[in-house]
Amino acid sequence: MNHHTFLRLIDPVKDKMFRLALRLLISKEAAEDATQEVILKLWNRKDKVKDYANLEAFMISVTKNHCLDQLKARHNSNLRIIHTNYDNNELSTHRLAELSDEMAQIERIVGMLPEQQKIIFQLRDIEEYDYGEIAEITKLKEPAIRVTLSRARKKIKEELLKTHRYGIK
Amino acid sequence: MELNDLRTLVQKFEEGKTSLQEERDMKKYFNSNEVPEEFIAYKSLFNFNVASRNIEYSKEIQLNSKPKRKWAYAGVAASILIVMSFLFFNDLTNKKLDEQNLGTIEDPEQAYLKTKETLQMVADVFSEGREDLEYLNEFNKTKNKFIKEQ
Repeated sequence: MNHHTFLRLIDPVKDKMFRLALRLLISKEAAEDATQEVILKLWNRKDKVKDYANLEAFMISVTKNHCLDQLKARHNSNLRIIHTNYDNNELSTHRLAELSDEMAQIERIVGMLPEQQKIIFQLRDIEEYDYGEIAEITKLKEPAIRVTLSRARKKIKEELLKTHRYGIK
Repeated sequence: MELNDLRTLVQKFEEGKTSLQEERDMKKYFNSNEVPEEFIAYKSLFNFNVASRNIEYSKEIQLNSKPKRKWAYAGVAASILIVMSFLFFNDLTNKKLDEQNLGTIEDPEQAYLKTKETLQMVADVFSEGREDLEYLNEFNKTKNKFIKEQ
């Protein structure tokens, strides 16, 4: 597989990879780094990449695992001085400014969800994957995915209703 | 859409039982219509979901990390070269020293005298140092006052 074929394969997926990384890592810089690293990882394993039936699911799955590893590393090594340690888990003011109040609010609510819920919410409600694909990416069974998704949706709605009510009072 | 239909659909959505097509229809519906107060949270949520999909990865994809590594090896090679050349030139200067006259004395008599003189000088320096230690005898004097030797 050469350069161009590979880039053609990556192109439709790279935004989705980035958005998932952004959902999990929150900071834009960390998400960009993660996406770049995952693409490089895939490129180095390009001979194996052909063997996967659902290439897109595989790529997303690698991204997911990479980001979770990053989060674990960040958690385990509070003493290491790397820029990811300085990202607090709030959205940067820069990104907040790009979003409207309402969007920022939902972004914040989603940010509070457990990682598994974030992932499944991202994959289903934003990227519109079907349950089969999500099962392939997360290695979870379909009923478990539905339950997790339902929890995420309910939680987001509840939090939104709360803030809406505060707004009225 | 009928209000009741919408309610059941939203209920299904919350339980994770809607199909992708239904979810897409809901996105479209909530995006384009004014909705009753009770669905306001869903409107925000669906708008958020649609908007979130527009974020793009804007950075250039780089597939060749190898050149970087090449330069790293060049750095290693260069430092080895520097160390080697340093050792090499150091060796040269040492050799030069060896070739120079170090003042070796050929005549045995003269060498003997010279050595004696040198050793004498060393001995003088030592004894000079020892003079300073005379003070320590003061301690002994005081000690002997109290502890009589048998």
